[in-house]
Amino acid sequence: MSARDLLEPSPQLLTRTQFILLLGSPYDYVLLQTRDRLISNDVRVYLVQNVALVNISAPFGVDDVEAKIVIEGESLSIRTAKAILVSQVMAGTKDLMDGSDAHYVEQEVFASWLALLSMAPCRIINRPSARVPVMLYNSIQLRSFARSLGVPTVDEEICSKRELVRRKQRGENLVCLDLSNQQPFCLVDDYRIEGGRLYSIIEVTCDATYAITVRIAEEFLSFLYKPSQGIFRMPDAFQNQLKDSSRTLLDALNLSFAYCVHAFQPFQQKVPEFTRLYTETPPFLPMNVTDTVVDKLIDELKR
Amino acid sequence: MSKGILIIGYIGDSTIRHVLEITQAADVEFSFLHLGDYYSNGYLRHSSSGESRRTMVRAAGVSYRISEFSGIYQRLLLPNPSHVGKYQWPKTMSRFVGLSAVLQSTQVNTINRPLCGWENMSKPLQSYFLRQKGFTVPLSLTTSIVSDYKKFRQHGETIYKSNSGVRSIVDNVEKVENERLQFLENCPVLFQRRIVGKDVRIHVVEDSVFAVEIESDAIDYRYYRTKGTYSHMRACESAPQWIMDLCRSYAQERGVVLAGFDFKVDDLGNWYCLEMNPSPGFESYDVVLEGRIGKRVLEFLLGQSL
Repeated sequence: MSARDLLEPSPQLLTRTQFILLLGSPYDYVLLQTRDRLISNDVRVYLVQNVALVNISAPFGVDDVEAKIVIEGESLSIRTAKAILVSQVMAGTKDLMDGSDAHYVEQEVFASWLALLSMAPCRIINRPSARVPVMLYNSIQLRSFARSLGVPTVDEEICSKRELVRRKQRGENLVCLDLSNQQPFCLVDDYRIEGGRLYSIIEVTCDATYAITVRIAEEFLSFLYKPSQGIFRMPDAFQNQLKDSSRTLLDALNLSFAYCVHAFQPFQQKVPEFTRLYTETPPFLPMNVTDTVVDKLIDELKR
Repeated sequence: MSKGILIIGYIGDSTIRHVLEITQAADVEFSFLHLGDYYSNGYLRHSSSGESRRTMVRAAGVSYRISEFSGIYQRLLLPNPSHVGKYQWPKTMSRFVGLSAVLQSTQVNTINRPLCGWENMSKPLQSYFLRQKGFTVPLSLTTSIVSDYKKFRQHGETIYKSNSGVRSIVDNVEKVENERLQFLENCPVLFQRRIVGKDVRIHVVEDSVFAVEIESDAIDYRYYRTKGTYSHMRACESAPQWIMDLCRSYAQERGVVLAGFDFKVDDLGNWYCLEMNPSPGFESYDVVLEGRIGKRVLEFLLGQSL
């Protein structure tokens, strides 16, 4: 069966009253493509970026109120959701709030959606895990968690500006992370290093080759990526190894759709080391891989 | 050679003050890392490859090597952004993230590791987990939809509280309904069927369980001074063993060493679990129990009996 065959309407699987909800950025190309192709196949699909703009009811033990969301005035019972894809949950607040109200509302909205997504009886891709708060983890916590599972993971060091400058002066060309905003940067670049902030130095050179695995349910796609040079085929010797370590990590995080990035030293016979994880589309995803991901995602959502 | 216990928090936090007091009273060696100092002028170094031997936190001119302590008691709080200057905020945030990562991965006994019991940041989600575990929980509705709220409301006395871990004063909706209902669509609220009866607070410290009961005329006994007239605490001898076992088992499953479970017990003797707090303020209950909770906390942190 070709990918195109998967797009044919299959009414026995997805009825007209059912809908599919995509939670994530409208600038995420994979989500946009997925939404557009589902619409062209007559599927009711909603892409929601900011869940604070969607009204919600999540009853618990109550008979006469059903779980629902209201998107732009349209009430949608969660009972009729065919599937929900959680790429990112953003709870930005409405303009009318002042600062302290906005902070409170963000937390309340997030908490109510966390409950809804955990309890909803429909199929949820990337359902919040009961065990691990993946939606709350930053990239350091993810690496720490991966290490605790025995997944080969890059070393890193948390330090102040002083150490960062010292290593920059030694000409080390490493990937770093500004812990104040989780912004990655390259040590040799002109990123403004501020005194008083803490940074993480990740032991990966900025010109490293990366081994990427993309998981969509039980499918794992993998390829090599080198910034400025593009993508390459993954050597067979590493395919299974990467698939296994990605599966170990993603199963523990309850993620069935995610992109795992590993630092890869092709000439050092070194096992690729987990570096970071995306649930939204990473900027380097090549177009041909994007198309395959969208195909498989649609298949999963309609299943 | 162990340097005893490292206590991390704000001196203005009454729970931190209590832990400092009981530690001193027990003649246990300790160091105190004041978060106010750490956020304003501190830093840390940590290497994932060297584990905690290479983790050093510094504040107010004092260095703390994490691996030298037998235990860490922490109440790591991020200050409210509105209380921190715009220029200082990125520094504060980066220090919070760094220390949080260190406490997450250290091998040292810690009460509690950051994000243990994280589900407490969504009370309806925690209710779901608690019910799966076997606790009875109150009927509840999280909603920002007025018509759904009205349906829920018509079936009985209703209270409201925050969905998230942000502390809120629990009260009856009657008192605010007319004034606040118009704002419901801006922010979902957690409504619950009110359970009338005594409150019981159960603390779990590793494998030990301690219960205190509270009689009060306020819906939220913590605020009896403004919302009621009295609140009396005493040791609770009537907590069923199966409830205490469930508390211990749930806390262990969630990786929480020190937990505070809130219960309402109705006139029929039904025990309703309201929540499990993974960072409980336990000082007032510890006073009622003559320091038994605090003693177990210290024993866990020291890895030995007192």
